Amino acid sequence: MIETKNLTKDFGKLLAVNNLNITVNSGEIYGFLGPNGAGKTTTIKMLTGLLKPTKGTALIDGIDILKDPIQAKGHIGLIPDSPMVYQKLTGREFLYFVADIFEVQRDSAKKKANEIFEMFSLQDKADVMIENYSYGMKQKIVIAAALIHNPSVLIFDEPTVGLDPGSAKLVKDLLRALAEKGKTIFMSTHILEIAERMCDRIGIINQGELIAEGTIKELRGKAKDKTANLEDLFLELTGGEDTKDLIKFLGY
Amino acid sequence: MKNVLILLRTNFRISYNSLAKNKKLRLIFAIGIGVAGVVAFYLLLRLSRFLYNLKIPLVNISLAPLILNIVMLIAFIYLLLGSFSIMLSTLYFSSDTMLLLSLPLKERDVFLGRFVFTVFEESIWLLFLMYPFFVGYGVVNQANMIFYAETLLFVLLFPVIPLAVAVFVILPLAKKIHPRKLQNIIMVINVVFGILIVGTMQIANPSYQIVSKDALTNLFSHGFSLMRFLPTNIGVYLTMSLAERNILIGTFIFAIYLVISAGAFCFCILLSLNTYKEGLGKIRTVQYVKIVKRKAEKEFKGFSFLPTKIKAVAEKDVKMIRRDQKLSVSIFPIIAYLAVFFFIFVVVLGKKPSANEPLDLSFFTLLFFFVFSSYMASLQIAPMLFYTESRSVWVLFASKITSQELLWSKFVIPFLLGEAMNALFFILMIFVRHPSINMILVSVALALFLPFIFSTIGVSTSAMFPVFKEVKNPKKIIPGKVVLIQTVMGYAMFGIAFGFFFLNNLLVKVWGGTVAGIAIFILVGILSFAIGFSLMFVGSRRLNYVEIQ
Repeated sequence: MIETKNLTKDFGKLLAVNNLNITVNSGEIYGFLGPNGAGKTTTIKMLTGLLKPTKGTALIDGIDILKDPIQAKGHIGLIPDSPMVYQKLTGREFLYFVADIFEVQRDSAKKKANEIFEMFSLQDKADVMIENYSYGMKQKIVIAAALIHNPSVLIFDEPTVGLDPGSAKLVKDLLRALAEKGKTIFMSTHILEIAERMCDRIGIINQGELIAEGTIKELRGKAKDKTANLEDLFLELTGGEDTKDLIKFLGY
Repeated sequence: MKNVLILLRTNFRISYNSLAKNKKLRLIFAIGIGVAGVVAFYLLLRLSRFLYNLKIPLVNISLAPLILNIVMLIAFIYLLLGSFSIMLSTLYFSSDTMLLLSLPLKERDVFLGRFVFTVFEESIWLLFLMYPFFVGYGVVNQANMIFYAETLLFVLLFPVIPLAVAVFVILPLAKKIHPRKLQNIIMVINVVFGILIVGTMQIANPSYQIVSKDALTNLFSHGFSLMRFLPTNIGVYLTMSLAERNILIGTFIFAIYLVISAGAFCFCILLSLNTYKEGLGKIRTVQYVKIVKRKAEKEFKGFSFLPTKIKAVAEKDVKMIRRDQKLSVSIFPIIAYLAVFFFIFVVVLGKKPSANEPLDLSFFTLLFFFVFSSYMASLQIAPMLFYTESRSVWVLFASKITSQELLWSKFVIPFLLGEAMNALFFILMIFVRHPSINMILVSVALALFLPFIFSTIGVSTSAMFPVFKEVKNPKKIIPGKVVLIQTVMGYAMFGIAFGFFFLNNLLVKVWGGTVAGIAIFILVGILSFAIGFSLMFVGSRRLNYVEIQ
């Protein structure tokens, strides 16, 4: 379970996230949407202890990330937006390394790594150095590393970026399966189709403020057009309708 | 030509903006650099005037031409040696290469823009470091304005020839060999050359008496007679002619110099037409990294005595050092220099002190080697290992590892390496020198505790200024202030170690060798632990506040 309490972050004059209060329950997939620079990645970094909030805090399975970051991090699996990994390790070595850091027994890490490699069709590349991987393969290895210690909370920053359609489908199925197993899934995405189809609840953030939250049905209830899809809804809430008019004006 | 000017203007703008983020600070930095340059210029001018007034005793011959030639020779060799690495990274590995190639620019324009900008960058250094020697010569000889103007142009154009020489070599080679591979080859050649110079200097050092004095004198006299054939001599003829107001001859020599430089420059452009595009093509299309499927390696059990998390990071770092060419190439010179000093160490140890000497100075030298090897093996490597985490550090910061565990995990390798080097020195000392109990105790204290203290300094001061960004060479990411702090602390440690040497001599007279040795051992231990643990505490506290943006 994830719970944020007045989570706030400023970078000097720039207020990146302002008084964010959200709760994501176990077994739930929560979609976190927002335009570029809205504060999505900043929120994720605060949830995972990479950034310190200016005010407020976040609880991971009831553990305060500020008071007990090490304990809280043990419950989290993070998949960042870009796969920054140790280029000179093989995929297998990287997974074992992460497993050691999370104090996973080597035998169970080996078993889990083999399962994950098979799931992502990476068996042939498991002993190849990561520098030889494509972007999508690196993304897969980062997802694999996030799963190796069997976390109860999974935080995805753009989960399907760089993945081929088959792998993207696999990740989506995986997310659903993990949620069914009772894991808490928090994902930020730009792909509204994924959010619309997969998420149990959606939060929309704009200029650091949570401007809407609820199920798709609840969000539609707030829109002018009750039959609007998530894209229209998103543009309406975040002011993107102006963009639509501009595109129309330019004749595209 | 217009494109070249645009590229140059952009490069100047980038260089200026890189001084600081803030606009006002940028101006302050620029002024500060200018002031520092003027101060350096003034000091070198005073130095040059002092040197030019020196004369060879008895024959009363001025040393000025020799000094001028040596200054130019040092600048030329420095430029020539550095130019291979500089030109290769500028021409092929600049971060804007892909961007420029996607724009409607000819490769020739890109080449020209980069070459001219590099010449400019090097000229600025020479203006402050080499030109004062010309001005000094002019002042001493009461030269006229033509002297100052022509020598100024000479200095500004000085980098053209060495940089062109590098281009003549690099461009055709990069057509055949992948520039990345070429870069590694050049780096290794530079290191080998550096070691040869250090080794030769040590062997030629008269105090070691490895080479006879007569042989050395012969070597130097032949060396000086060869100097007249060096390209820098043209600068001496130019300066002397102009200073003696032989304007026509001086200007004629300057014209020859201009023609040679212009010829080298034009030849570079011609060469680039046929070769630069192909070298760049390799960067764009060929993946140099060999795809090697690694067999399941036999697990490295060397760190199995460590706690799991610390062991995981240390083992990962060992793999990185073994596989990352940039990292291993950075460590290679450190190990190689240590090997050279190891050799000298044997020579020095072989010389036993005479019984009449009040202080055992060879013991003093021996202690110096313990400090030096700890400094090189521990303090030089620790920051590299810390900063090599680069952007992958999120893996650690998002995991269960604490900042203290992270710091101690980075401490392991430099510490063990320092201990290993010192253990070798120590064993060698036992066999070669048959030391006294006091000497053994003092040596063990330094050999044991110095790698500890140098490793903690290296790791903790790096943690105090954390930078995690992607770089090709981890050595280049280490912030200047960290290098400065570590160097100052390193020298302080040299001072403290030598202080202990003198304290030991004092205590020996009062308590006798064994008790004095034990006292020194305990003192060094307490001091090392006090400094080391305090620094690690401060470093880990700082790391607790690090934010990964």
